[in-house]
Amino acid sequence: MNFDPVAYTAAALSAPVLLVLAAFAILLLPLFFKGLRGTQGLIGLGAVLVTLTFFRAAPQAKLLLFYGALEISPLSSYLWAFALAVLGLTIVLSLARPPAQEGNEGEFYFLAVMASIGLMVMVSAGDLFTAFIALELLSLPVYALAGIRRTKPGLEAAYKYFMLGAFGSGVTILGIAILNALYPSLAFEALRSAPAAAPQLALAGFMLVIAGFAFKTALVPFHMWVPDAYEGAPTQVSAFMAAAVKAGGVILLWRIFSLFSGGPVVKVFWWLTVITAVFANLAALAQSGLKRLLAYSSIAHAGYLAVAFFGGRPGFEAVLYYLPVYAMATIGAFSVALVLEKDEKGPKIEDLAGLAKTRPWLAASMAAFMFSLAGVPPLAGFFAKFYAFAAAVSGGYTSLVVIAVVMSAVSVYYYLRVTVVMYMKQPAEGAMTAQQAPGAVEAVVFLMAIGVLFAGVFSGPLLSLAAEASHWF
Amino acid sequence: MIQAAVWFFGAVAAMATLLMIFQRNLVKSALLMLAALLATAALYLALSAQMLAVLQIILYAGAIMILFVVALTVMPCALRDRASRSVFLKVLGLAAAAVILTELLNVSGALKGFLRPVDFSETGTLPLARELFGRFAFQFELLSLVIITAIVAATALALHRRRA
Repeated sequence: MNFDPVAYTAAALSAPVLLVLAAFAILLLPLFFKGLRGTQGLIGLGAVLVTLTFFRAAPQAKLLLFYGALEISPLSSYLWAFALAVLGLTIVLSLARPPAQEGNEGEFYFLAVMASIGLMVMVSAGDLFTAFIALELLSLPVYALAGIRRTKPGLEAAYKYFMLGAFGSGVTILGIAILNALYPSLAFEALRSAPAAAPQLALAGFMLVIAGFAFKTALVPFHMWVPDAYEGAPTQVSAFMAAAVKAGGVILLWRIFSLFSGGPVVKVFWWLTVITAVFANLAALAQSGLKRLLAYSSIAHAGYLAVAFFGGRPGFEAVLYYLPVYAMATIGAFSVALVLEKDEKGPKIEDLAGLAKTRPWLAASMAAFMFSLAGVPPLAGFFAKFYAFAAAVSGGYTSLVVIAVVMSAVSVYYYLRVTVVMYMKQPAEGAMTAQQAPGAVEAVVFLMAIGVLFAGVFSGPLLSLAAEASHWF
Repeated sequence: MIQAAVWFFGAVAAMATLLMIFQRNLVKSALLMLAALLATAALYLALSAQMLAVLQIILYAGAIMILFVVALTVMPCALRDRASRSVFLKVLGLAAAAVILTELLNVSGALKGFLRPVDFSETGTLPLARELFGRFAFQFELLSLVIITAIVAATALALHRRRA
């Protein structure tokens, strides 16, 4: 296949460059033109839609840009499209229910777009150093977004997330400094072989880096910030955190994991995966708030994603299929929480009582998200888990998969509880009697529900896209 | 001439540091620390380490001092803070200082063997610039986005408080 590398580079970089320009337009234009105030979200959404059209005809090639700092390939296109879709949905949710105070919209959308740019650079980073800076570009705005309402739960969420996140970043950069001293280059390819000088020290460096990234992915025991942050942050931001921040962490962890074919690092991952799957699912059983439940569910899914790591390339393929499927279900569930929320902490599970009577379509969609997260066929969540676990089994990690399947069965209990409350319980007096007209949030809910259903029943197209992208790793 | 400058700025730095330690007023202490940091920068300059001198001013005299000043202004109670009367803490501090002093003396004793004249080409400004704007240009630009995002994030959180 012949293609012009210069034109390809320009086309590939136009997406992030356009987003950077859009971010500054969002921040600055309304300062100069009063008529544009309040339209920042629309500018952002427009930029996302335009950028998404750039991915139609990405050539089949891998380009290393900026001395290998950025890898542009069909894999990066796939993940960038994912990042943009999550950003677009977050913007739609925020336009429908403004999370920021009046006059703060510019900052809100600027930070959301910047975080997405951070995610895009992070998933296509060619070396550890670039990945770390991109991780900071992803994390910093999200810390602020979590507390953008400046109410007590929001600030608590932002503060906890920031303090622990800064600690995680410190640990990561310490690890990177150690690796930088031992290896000639920080490019992922160069890290593949153990250094002759000090293998023990290199191992310590890798462990620190893994701990830092596991923090962003929210693997147990680096998950402490997740429930409070998801609960206190505006629900739109919680959805973004669950879908986008996690995806970035998972891709980076996979890049580190794939450097090793055995040894202590793989063992550590094995244990991280097991305690994540066990602890998160057990802790989720005791939750009464919907957002907290989804937070523990997100930790558990980080564990299932880590199971797929053990499957080699098919495992990575499963990860690439898993990420959008999980994102659809979790964004949908958070959107339902957004529809029902009366205070910042979001609805309790009990508040969903009788939803099937008052708003049947909303209840049906929520049930679809819960079943998809639990992994019930024919919804997409089932196939995502199936491919992830099947890959790990073929990799020879049957005991790991057995634990994950058992814990997955445990998870059915709390996902089912939400459905039971919606369908079997009578609504509390005076609750949910007002029938609101469906708005943009409901549109997102239905879109995600259709997505979860179709990506399961007709899993072919998404799966083949994921398979194709995984070949460019 | 250079020898005199080294002695002079060295003496200023040492003096300012001692005054800083024995100063009870926190703001005066911070300003004395600034003086010590600037004197150290001048010392680097006298030793023809321009890059180090500039970094010392930007990072320490600039950024870190701002941190101190911000911390002092947002926490007015810190200004009324009394020195601890605990003997144990004082002994602990002195012990730590003694350890660091011995270590520094050891290191400077070991370094005496390596003394050699420094010429301008070895200060590394040019190679650093080449790396920063060549090989690491992308990361450098990415960092600028990180910094501007951090500024916007801080403003978004702080401005709101003023409105409310």
